[in-house]
Amino acid sequence: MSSRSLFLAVLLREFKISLTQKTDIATIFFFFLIVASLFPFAVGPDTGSLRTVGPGVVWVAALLSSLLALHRMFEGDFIDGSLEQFLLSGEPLVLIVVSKIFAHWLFTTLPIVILSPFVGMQFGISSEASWIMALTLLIGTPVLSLIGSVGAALTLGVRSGAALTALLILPLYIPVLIFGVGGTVAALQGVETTGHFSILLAFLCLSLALCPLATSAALKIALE
Amino acid sequence: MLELKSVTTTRGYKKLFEDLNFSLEEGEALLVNGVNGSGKTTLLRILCGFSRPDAGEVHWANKDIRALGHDYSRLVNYLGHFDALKGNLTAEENLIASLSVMGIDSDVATIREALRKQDLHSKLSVPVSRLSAGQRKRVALARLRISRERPIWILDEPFVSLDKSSTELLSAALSEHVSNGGFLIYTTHQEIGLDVRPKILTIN
Repeated sequence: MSSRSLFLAVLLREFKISLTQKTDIATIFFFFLIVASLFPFAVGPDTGSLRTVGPGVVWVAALLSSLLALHRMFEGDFIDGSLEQFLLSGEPLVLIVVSKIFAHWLFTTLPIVILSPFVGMQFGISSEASWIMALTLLIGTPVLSLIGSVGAALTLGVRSGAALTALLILPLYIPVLIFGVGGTVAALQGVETTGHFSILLAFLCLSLALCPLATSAALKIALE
Repeated sequence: MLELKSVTTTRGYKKLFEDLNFSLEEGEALLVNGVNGSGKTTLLRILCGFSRPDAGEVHWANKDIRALGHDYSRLVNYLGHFDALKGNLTAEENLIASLSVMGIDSDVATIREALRKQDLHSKLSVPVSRLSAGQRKRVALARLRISRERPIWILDEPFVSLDKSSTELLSAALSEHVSNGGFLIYTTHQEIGLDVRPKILTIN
């Protein structure tokens, strides 16, 4: 089977499964909305301070929502024996893993990215800077899913795995967060943002090259 | 030829089996016997290549299965304690999804036919989670039927929760597979008659 048709087969499978778990996806979506909406209550209605914290708040809310969804990535397939069948498919596990991570990002995080500029405007961020922020999220959140997949795979079958994943993964999210928020702040101040985007894209390339390999190795260990 | 060469495995500090050897030729079946917890499932998982033994090797056609990698795994049909079915999908959707990832060509007609043979045609639009344990097992067996071209069948307790007629259907399918020159390794606690007399391996 060609790599492309395997990638699409896994993607279609994940899509069908996601369709039956719409409430899970809606939960993540509304979690993002509520976390982001809590801050104006805490910080107060002052436009200046809201605009200052806005990019950081939206990014952290997106990061936490992505984290909330992580444990779903492999747990179901681990519990019901699908992972064993993946290993016997005779196809490279790493390709199946890439497809699963992409599907996971597509169905849980992309809706948040699409919504983010509107949440940004709620913080008084100009529409232009809001679109820049959405773009940093579009590049940055796949990195979060890729790094997160390693943590999700490593904690399979472990008690309170979701909390452990968070502890393992959150420190690794820091660089992505810094440059994601940095890009948006630069856009707000009217400064050149190319540097931030270059670094975010470099993170994406690096994690795309390394994380799926680590994740599939971790999955094989989980099945031993 | 499938061979187990002086395989030793431990669980914690307990030795499950030591220096275990056997070989299986085309058209032979192996029944793995042993009390609960003796390591039957562990042995089957080693034969699938999921687990690594502490010592020894599994050989297929005189090559270590570790070295063969995907060339070996795409010859194996494994049915374990978990049926790899998604509860929210129907039997048909489940089979389409898993067979396409396994790279096995199958169309809807083939899948429906296999489900009909398992007497599940009235359950086509029901999510698998609403089926009984025996019916779920039969969905998994329908998948086995479609991927029957794979020569090595490793089945862990395949007869559990099946009714009398499904048991007969399965034992006929297993007999057919073996008499067509396939390899069969299975465990069971029931008295099942196959047309071929299986070799017996008892783990203490």
